[in-house]
Amino acid sequence: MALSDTLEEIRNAFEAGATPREDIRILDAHVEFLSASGAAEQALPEGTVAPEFAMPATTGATVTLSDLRAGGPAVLVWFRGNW
Amino acid sequence: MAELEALQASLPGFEDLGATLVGICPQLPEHSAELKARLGLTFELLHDAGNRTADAYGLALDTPPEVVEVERRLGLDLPTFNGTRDWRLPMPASVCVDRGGVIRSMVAQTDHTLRPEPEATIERLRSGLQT
Repeated sequence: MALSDTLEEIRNAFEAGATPREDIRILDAHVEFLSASGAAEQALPEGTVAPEFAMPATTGATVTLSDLRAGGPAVLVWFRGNW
Repeated sequence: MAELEALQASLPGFEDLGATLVGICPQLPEHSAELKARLGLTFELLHDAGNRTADAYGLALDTPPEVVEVERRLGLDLPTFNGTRDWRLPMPASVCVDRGGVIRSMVAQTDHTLRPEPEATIERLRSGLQT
């Protein structure tokens, strides 16, 4: 199954669940606001130099972008959290 | 965490291109460690304390007060979870960086219920490598 199908199932389950309609409306309105505000366009564009970083991994080791791209391309996937 | 599981399933596709995949998240490392173990992830999850790296990439967003209230009602205490005092969050994003340190693709989502398909990211990576 494609990831988009799984996400749609999660979305449908959320809407069918116990969350009040008004709360769902507030969350949807925020998503619409972000889309309309062009927030995604503030992300660095293709062709620009990726800012270097140093962040701790779950192992405690510090990982830099230079480390990640030393042997090939690096793919950075931002996610919001476990919740 | 459907996205991370899908990425794990597609990991060989990234490795075939010599790419290294990491997840980046502002939550405290203990939460990412738990997630990594629970989902059996073999790629690393990095702790972006205070969304500093997300800021540098233009990915950090403020959460308005009415949304904070809803999230609290849903049981989320983001500042405690992230070890911060604010409710800022990164946009979900997939970024491909080439060996020279240049961004070859950037897909940022303002709708947090959407994510790029891992296979589409692999395809963008492949086409970026050819240019």
